[in-house]
Amino acid sequence: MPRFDAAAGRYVHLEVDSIDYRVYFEEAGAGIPLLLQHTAGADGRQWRHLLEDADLQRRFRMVAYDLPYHGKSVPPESLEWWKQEYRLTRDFLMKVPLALSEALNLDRPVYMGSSIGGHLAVDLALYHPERFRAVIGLEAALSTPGGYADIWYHPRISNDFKASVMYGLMSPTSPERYRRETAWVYSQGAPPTFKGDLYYYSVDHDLNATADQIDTSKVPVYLLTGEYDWSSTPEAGQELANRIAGATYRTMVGLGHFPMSEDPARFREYILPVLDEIAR
Amino acid sequence: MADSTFDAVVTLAADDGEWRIAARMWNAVLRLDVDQVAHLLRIENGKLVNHTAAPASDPAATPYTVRVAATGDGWRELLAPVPRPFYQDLYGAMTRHGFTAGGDFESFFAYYPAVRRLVELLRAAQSRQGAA
Repeated sequence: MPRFDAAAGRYVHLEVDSIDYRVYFEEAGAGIPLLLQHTAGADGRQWRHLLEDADLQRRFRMVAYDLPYHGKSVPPESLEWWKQEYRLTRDFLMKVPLALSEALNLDRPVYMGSSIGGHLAVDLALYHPERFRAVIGLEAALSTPGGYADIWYHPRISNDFKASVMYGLMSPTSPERYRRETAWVYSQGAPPTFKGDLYYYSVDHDLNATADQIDTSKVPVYLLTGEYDWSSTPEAGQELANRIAGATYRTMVGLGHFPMSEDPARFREYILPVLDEIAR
Repeated sequence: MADSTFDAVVTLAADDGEWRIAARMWNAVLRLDVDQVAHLLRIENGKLVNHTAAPASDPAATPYTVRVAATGDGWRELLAPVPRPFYQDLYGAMTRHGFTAGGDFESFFAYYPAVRRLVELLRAAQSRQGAA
């Protein structure tokens, strides 16, 4: 008998700014909708372990999607995208989970993302609190300046560089097989996407002046950061939480920048209580 | 860090599959400064051929392709069996712990996977010597 994963993938067409995007997503489970956003330059494979969690499948409809230009979500047919350098903006990034929720008829989903996805959690809480029942920001911060640099998209430096630096963003105690897999996914991103995503990560995302406007009575905010994340540090996560009244923060000991994919078992210990609380 | 740690890495790299792949076609002199001592690792067509050391201010410490510098304490933290946060990788140590780099950055970043592996081999060599 063949052995199948529970997650099943398909494509949905989303209209964002009058452009048709064919977006790939994988889903598993039934119940409270839970949107899962990947990190910069990567794709939804980072969530494959969570999608297979039998306990969560009984309570959550988990949807892990590939942003346009990432993974299986190829660039749109109606744009001459090859004539301008790819760049991810906050405005566009926010529209993707909103459009996806609408297309899949998700009733006020929980949103969870890491890195750019973590930053997006708090941007969604600020700009679209009514659309989500809770947001979970992994490796989120008020801002993370300095990352938008040419070295991430350089004709003489291959994707191996990105994968190798990302490997070093993980905890040395995370299982090597999963750290290697996380880096492998990084090595497969289209060359411009990582740098382009960092435009959002390091330039367009900046809550220094607005974080205290987030209203957690409208949307609960949960923040967690890996102990070994030197890009968006635990200190930065705590600083963000301090600026949002009612937000919770926890440092994930023994994890780094990719908690869901670098050590799924350890990540589960941290995320399960959060999801339990949301589901109550 | 003792000279013998660097000498041991020359041997370790010769048998290391990951190093061989990551360093393929690389010709370089990688200079690692520990306090005021420059350790020069010569790489020819991807093979780590030898290690020499010289005072950092000595003309013998140049030329080099890529230079990474830190204090002895910094290197000890980087090479700990389970490093403290942000010492787990050279890039993080450069970002958060005062390690510096210089030279040909294109070569450095293009061969970062090799440099990262070399740090892991140094960590292994240091650990073996500590256990001996």
